[in-house]
Amino acid sequence: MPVLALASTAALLLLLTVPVFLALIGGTYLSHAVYGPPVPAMVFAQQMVQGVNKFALLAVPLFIYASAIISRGEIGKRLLALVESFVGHIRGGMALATVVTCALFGALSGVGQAAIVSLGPLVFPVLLAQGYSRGFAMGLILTASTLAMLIPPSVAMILYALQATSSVESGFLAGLGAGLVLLVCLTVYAVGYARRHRIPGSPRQAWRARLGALRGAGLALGLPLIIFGGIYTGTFTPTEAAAGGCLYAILVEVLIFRSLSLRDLWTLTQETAGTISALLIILAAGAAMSYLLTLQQVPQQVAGLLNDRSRFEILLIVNLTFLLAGMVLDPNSAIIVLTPIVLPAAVAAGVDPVHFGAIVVLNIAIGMITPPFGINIFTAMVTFRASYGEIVGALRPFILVALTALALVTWGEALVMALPRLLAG
Amino acid sequence: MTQLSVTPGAGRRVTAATGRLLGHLDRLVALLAGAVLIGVTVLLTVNAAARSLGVVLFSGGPTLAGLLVLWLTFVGAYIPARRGGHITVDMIGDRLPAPAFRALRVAVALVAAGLCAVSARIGWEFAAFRFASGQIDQMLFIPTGWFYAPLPAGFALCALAWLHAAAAAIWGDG
Amino acid sequence: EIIMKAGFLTPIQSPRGQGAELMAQMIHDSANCDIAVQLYPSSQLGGTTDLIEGMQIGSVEMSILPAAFMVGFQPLVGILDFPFYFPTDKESLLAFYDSAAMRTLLDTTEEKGVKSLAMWHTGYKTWTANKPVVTLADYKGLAARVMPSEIIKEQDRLLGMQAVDMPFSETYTALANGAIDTQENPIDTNFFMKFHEVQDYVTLSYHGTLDQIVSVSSIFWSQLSPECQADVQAAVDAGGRLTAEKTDAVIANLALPAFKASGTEVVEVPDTARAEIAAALLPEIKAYYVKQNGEAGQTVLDAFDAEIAK
Ligand code: NA
Ligand code: NA
Repeated sequence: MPVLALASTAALLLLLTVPVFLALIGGTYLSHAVYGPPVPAMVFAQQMVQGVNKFALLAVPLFIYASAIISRGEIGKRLLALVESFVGHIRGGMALATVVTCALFGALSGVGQAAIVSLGPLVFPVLLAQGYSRGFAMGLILTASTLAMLIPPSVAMILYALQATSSVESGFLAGLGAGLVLLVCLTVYAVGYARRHRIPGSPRQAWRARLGALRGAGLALGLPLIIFGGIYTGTFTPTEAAAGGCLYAILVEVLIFRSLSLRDLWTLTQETAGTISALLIILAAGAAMSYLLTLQQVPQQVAGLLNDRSRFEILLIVNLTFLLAGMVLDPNSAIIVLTPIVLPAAVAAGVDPVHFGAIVVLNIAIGMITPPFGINIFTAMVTFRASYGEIVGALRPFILVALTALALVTWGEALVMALPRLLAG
Repeated sequence: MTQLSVTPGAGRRVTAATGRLLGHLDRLVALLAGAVLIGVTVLLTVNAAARSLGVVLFSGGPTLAGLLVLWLTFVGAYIPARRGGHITVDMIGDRLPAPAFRALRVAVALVAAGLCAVSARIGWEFAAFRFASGQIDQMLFIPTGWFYAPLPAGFALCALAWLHAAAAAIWGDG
Repeated sequence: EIIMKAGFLTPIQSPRGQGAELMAQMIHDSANCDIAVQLYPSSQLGGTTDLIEGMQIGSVEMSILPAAFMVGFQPLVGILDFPFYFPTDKESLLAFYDSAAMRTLLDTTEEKGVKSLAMWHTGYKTWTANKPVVTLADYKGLAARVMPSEIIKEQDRLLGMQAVDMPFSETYTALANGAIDTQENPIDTNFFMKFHEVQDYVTLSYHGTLDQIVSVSSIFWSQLSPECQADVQAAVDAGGRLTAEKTDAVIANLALPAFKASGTEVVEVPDTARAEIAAALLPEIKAYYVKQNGEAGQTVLDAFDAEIAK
């Protein structure tokens, strides 16, 4: 019952509007004090620090910073004007462009929150201007951002392959398959929504105007060039690309576009630093909690549920387990802790480990946008300055879309395995 | 509340005085946090650019960036703690009548201050232990205690912020 | 009943995971011990130094960790990172681990609150790259992932390589897109990390090891009766033998075939090339070690030199 003590304390504190990171910490301390195990409490300090002290995580604050700069400066507007000049007139076109951009961006960063914070502030006002509702725009951005975990390269998939001793290459291809399934589901929903709600879009632009937008974008195009080009040529890791992008954006906005004064930049930097802390400290608290759950052998209790089940039941239990885990754990810890425990049962039931990897990573990705606890929800709160209730409400239809994709990925093995079988042998 | 309302004037004066003190702290922490953010950005970019040219300026670059982000995370948490900017699940607050809402604010601030104080304490224990162990980080050649020190420092600051918030909710901001 | 939480970095099915399982079983079966062993593979209790810190504060009882991670706590252990120094045949290496010189070194962790019981051999280090790395000239100018170890940094510097601080989890991608050219790890690690998928050559330089120090918290150790301590020591030793066997099996049955299947070429290094590099590197490495550790360092080094010369 240590889990219940933890969960109910955290839930109560959350309900009383105690900040999320303190609710997690409070639940952890209480469960540890009552149920043990007898490790000194200062180990939570160690785990909180280690929860943030990860190189891959460095990309998140830097993308938050970059997005703060370009959304208040000119770069963001110019890039979007360019995209809009090409697809703005198509009904659902901007929604589609949002999904595809998030997918491309995810391909680079591998971190779900990065897409929300860097693309969110740019795309959001444009979607509103096109006539989409706030809720639709936020839900779309949040859900599309989870594609980052599926489209290769994906840290989550590497970690899975390590645990499953399956091929990373095949895992990447399976993740790509699952990502495409989610992308198609989202697109169908978004375009359908645009038709149903007769979203007007913007007037079609002539090629001359489009070329004008391209020229207008000018130096703004350097930003995606640095980020995409830097990573694919091996000059930058994603984290360094985020840093390089920040520095480029600062130089262009301040010195060339003159859209930000040095004073504006300094104010914005200080504000952003606070936003970053609010987000990262939740990950720190989550690390302490996930450590305690591991010590209390909670994952092993899940394994007990899987004995003597059919393939269908096992996949269903796995889906539920990872969705729940995605609600409380950071995705990477969830994969490391749970994979070795659930994989043997799945393999025994005849599931291919590579296919299983796609299921697991998609589950975890969805867990990040499902209430009560999802790091993408919290990221969206600081990005869009929206309330928890508004975001959770907005996500409802999108979670259904994502669950549809999950069902397709789970029971439509061919959808996921076609690419790995074709290309990785 | 009746007992507290005996000396509302004194309470308000103390709250106002500590508020002014914390105001200086606000500016200092924001200054440091902003400097760290810019520092990390420059450090990682220069490090990567140098590497692509085949030069190693400083092989501990990423480790130093990580250390700075730790300080940003924990000490920087004081900034949203002061501004009510920490992420909360805000499902009930605005549906409560005013007196209940005020009581809730006091309770939340006190719970938050308490949890931060406990965290600061265990963080202090652990950081002190790390410094005492004499362990040296193998990339930066500094005691590993510096990786843990931001936790007690940050949580102690947050505890102060919430204590002040509780006082302000009881006696007013002055 | 005392709980013994044992943490290590690799998955349970890795050779050291299987060694740990055997050890756990033997401790469970011991009539002299009343210990419940809980294994935490895959860095579940923490990545690197947090496990050692954990033993010091009493949140972890046992860790099975590459010796390099102990160096921040006990710099003398850095001698285990010496390149092109240790015997390249396994039997001589294991005999060396049983020597008095090694015991003297392991005992130096006790002042740090950690009792080191044994070394587990998990394979010799190799270089992966998109070219063979055989002679001194081959190393020059490569960007290499450096481990957090002063000695290894010094090794990279003397080899003329550019030492890049690259987190382990990002190494696969960094090798794939060329952010780094090479990295050093035992064959089975290269296999488990799938580095062969993104590298054309694995050079069997055997220039060192990343062998594991199996250590326990002194607090925990002092709670055990001498009989139980002897049984735990025996279980650890048995786990070590199994780990070394399983490592060989993984290399022969899984890793090398997988390298072959993915078109990764395996390159041998002749003894002459190894001797040439050793002659170029070791004098400076030894001087660095002694400068860093003073008289204690000289004593350990002399004992090691004498034992290796045998
Ligand atoms: Na990705
Ligand atoms: Na969730």
